[in-house]
Amino acid sequence: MTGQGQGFSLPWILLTAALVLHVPPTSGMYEDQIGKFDWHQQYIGAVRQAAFDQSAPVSKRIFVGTESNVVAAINSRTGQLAWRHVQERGDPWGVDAVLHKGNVLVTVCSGGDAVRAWDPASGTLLWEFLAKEKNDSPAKALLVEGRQDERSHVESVAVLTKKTLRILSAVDGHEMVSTEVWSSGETGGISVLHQASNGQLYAVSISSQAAVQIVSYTHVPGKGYEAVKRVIPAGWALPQSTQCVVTGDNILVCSEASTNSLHTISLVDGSGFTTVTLLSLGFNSWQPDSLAISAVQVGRKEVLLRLSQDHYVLLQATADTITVLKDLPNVYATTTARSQDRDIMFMVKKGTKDELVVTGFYLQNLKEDQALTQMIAHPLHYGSPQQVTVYTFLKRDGSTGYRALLQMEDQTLLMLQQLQGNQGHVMWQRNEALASISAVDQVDLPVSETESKFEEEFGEESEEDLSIWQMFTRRITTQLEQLKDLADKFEEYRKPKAKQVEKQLERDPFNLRKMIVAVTSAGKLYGLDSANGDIVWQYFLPNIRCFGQGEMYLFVQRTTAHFPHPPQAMLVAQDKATGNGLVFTFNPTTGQPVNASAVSGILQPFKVLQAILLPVMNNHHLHPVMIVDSDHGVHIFPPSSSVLSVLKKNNGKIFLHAADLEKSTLTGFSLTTLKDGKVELAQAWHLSLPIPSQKIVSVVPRRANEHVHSQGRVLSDRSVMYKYLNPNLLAVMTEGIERDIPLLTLYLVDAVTGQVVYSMQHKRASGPVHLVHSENWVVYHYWNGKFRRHEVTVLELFESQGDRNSTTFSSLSTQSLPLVLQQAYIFPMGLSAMAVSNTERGITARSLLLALPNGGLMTLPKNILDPRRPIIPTKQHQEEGVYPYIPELHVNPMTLLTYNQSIEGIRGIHIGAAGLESTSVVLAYGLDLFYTRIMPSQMFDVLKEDFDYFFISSILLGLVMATLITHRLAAMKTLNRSWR
Amino acid sequence: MEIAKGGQSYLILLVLMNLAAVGRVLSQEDVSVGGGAVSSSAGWEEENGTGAAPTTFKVEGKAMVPGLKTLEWIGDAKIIVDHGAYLGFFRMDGSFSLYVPSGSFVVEVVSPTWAFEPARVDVTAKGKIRARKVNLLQIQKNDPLPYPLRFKSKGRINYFERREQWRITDFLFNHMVIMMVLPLVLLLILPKMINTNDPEMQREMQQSMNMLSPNKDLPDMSEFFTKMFGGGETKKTTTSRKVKRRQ
Repeated sequence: MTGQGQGFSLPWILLTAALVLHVPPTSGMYEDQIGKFDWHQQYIGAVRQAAFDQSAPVSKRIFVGTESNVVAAINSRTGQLAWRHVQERGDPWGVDAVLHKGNVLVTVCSGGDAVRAWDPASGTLLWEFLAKEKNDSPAKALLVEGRQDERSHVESVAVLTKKTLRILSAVDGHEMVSTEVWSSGETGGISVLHQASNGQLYAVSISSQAAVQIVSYTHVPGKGYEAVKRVIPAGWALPQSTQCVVTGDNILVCSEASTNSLHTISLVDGSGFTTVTLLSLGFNSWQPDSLAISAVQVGRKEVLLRLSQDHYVLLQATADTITVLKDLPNVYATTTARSQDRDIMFMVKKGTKDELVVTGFYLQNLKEDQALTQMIAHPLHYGSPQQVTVYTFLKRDGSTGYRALLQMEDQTLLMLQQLQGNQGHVMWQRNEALASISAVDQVDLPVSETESKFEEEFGEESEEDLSIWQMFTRRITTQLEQLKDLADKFEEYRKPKAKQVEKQLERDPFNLRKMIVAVTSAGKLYGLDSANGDIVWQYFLPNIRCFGQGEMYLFVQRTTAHFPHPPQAMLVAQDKATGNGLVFTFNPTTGQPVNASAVSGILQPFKVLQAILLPVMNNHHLHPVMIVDSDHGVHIFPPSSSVLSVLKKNNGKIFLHAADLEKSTLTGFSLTTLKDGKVELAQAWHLSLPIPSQKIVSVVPRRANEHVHSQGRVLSDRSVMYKYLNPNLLAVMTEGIERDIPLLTLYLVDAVTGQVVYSMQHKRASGPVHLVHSENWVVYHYWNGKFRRHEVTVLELFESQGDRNSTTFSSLSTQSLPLVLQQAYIFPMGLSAMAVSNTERGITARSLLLALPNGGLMTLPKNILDPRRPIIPTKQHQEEGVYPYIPELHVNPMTLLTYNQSIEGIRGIHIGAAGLESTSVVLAYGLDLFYTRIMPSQMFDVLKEDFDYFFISSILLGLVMATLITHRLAAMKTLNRSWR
Repeated sequence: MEIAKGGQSYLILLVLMNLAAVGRVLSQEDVSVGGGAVSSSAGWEEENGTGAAPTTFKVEGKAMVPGLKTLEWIGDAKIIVDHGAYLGFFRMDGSFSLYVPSGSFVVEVVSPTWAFEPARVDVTAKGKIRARKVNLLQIQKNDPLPYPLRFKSKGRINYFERREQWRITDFLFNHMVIMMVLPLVLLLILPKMINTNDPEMQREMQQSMNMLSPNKDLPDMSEFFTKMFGGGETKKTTTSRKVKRRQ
């Protein structure tokens, strides 16, 4: 008994002892390093609703609801965020409604399932109402006003979803009324909520059965709401193409895009629709999908009809007639605002030249007021204006002044202020497209002018055909130019102000400064300076969108390393209109298109299945991009003869794989060049995964041209475990359910032969899975359903037997399977992204970067996730430097790169290698952008920034002084001695 | 045909390896539990996949930071359930409510400045709610916490390492410095402190010397001392002479 007890407790004693002795090192940052290497930009996403603050007399804020599910308040003077709340994720349309009146601010999210009231000043939650309907379309919402003591106040909030109408108290959010809109069996299409001036509430829904249902709710004090339902046949109504509004005098106006017609009815007593075709009004819409109708303002009788992107018509509707009030051509967006008891309609128009004109007219007399006009320059990279919100105020001279918030096609927000003389002024702008980055890369900056001259002289291009004399003159001229540069530098040093500003971005000595090239789902391309996040260039492609999985392909075909060839990048995206592929080549350091005639990309006649950068270069150092179309045809970009000859040389040596996520199969192809110069894919292998219910969730290859410095691990007995470094290894993760038990399976597949090197299964485990694959190891994070916790498993692969040719790897010649070591650890949190650090030569130890759900970005040294960590540590393990196994990993706040900042909604982490071996540069992107540097093995190649120069130099100086003084003393002493 | 055959053989291989893998997983999970026996109590089991319409239950609680008004810290704080599956916002008084289906959840208060301990909340299918401490190693262990939830901050989160500062005391008490300086002090200052010209002192020292070395077999020690002290004297005399000369 006792013996057993001892046997059991001994390892635990050892473990605790080892725990105390062996605390893994942390490398936190110091407080004075805040903002030195890192920057953080907060975004909110494309704005759907905006409302100027009315709660305070001096309005400073704009409340917005965005497509990224963010409710925020923006300071209207600076563009900074006053507060921001990210709501529940999951809806493609974002926030349903932002309702603001007086002191009430209510937001509706998740298709009407989450209604929240906020304190406008602090952004604190006042009340919330949560439901679980899970609607697939946005809800309509309205602030219902009641009258008390001749003053109207917000009484309740009405929310109309596809299924129910709810009326919630504006005071505490309790549900006052909840009624089913449709009797069972029917489903509603689009709907409208309207409150008449007498307080009656109307809910209008259009069903798929060609009927319009009007429900009126009358508030009966003491009893609640009384509902009266009317169903009116409407044979013209199609839920997909119909839009409806209600005017101030309770007329329902619907526009129907497929027949280009308008339909009106009185909400109070109408029994049938009156139909008016657009043609009879003298208009027609040539862009049926942009036909839209909107009410001008609560209480006004006019309605506004959008015929196309830049053509509006102001209409007046009665129960049986529609009259045209004003034709508004060349207008992008309109809004109304009230000033001095007059309703003004503001509109954003196309100017005579490349400019935008914001102007306004009074709705009473339809007269334009020249004093309200302002003009701003309209750079092409913004696209056309989409939405405008105006806030009016009284100027000191009694006239009306206004500020306009403009949302552009590229999701940029512009705040306009009117200066004197109809001159507009952009107070601030927010580049909200950066909240939805879909592809990103970090590109080295071009070398400085002097260095590029060296390149010019000694670069390989100049080697040929130069006589000694020519080379000599070249040398002399270069040296003269260098002398001139030196003189220029002195001049600059004396007068620092002049040239500095226009100077192009240059590479720094350690190549720490990069150009971040970001492609956003809005079609906007940005070049950001990684030193501070400033925008260096921007470019707008209005006609692109992401592929089905939310991705675009961005390839750097040629880096800046090949002077005098300019760097080149290629974007492969989908065309909005046709769904075909679109290819855009540009210079990643300047953002200029390579082909001046293809400013918005080249439309391809095929649909893109996959695009990859080929690992070969032509004689201009350009990596070709291969696009596989949906019929497995191959297209090479650029299709020049030099590229094809390179491909011919590598015939049969290039392999690629395709994963069919639906059928969960993997297929390997090899690229073959035919005699007539055509390139084809030949199937090399095909692998269908054994369990049919499994779905492939991720296929992660090793990073292309990854440097691995050490080939093995030295054990304490001086033997070496050689790493299994297969550059063609794929980690394939599948998720499935077998006999009601969720199941994760990892396959390690050789991409050239299709051989399954290893597979392993986790029962009762499920995703989301985050997987990282580097060197000879794979780390993945998943949810363990059995123990209800997240776990991280590490797999490390080693060569199983003796020597082999380690300099060249060939998948075709390997026979033996590797030795796999693995261990699992408990991780206390879920993750939103995971990545691994990457340095130039791979000498530095690797570190994992984990994006935590609380907005932190954590570093975890890879040597903590080591499958060789022993449960019972021995002296040999200590000698090797392996920590004893502890099942639980902890989140140490000192390992958070983000310190006390929360990076919301991280979707990806991009890591670039700096010129310094010790350093990697990290960009975390999602809703926010965060950039920093990491040094996984500390800064071993540069003096630390806290290096005490003063101390060292004072000691040195002291020693020199001491030497001099003692020398003098010694001389005196010898003199004295000789006198004695 | 040939490809298909190859595929089949791989499939067989896969199945074999899967079996091996399952064996490994089990053993590895045993390790991570820490050898503790796991027995499941039926009443608090997670009920997933029941198929019925999801009913949600309200989970309530309150959080506080000692010594701070609520509005001073809730501005950037929020509640997350199961690391972001559900979301909660604080009200003015620091209270919050969440709507979750039945199951077991980890409720966390997320604040960039203040540290809070997470809590595990179990909700039965009938809506009975209990709270307990989060124990990831032994998930069945019941360390009950009060419900409605009470979160109290443990204090500020420290994100930064203290930078080492150079202090004179660090330098002086460095063992290397002490090793070098102390002998120096002994060598230079001690002889000066003892007035060797005082005859009484001399006698005393002689005595102590005799006490220390009563053995007359070692004459060279005393010789050494006389030599040393004598040398000192001559030195003194030379300097005094020099002074005199100057005068």
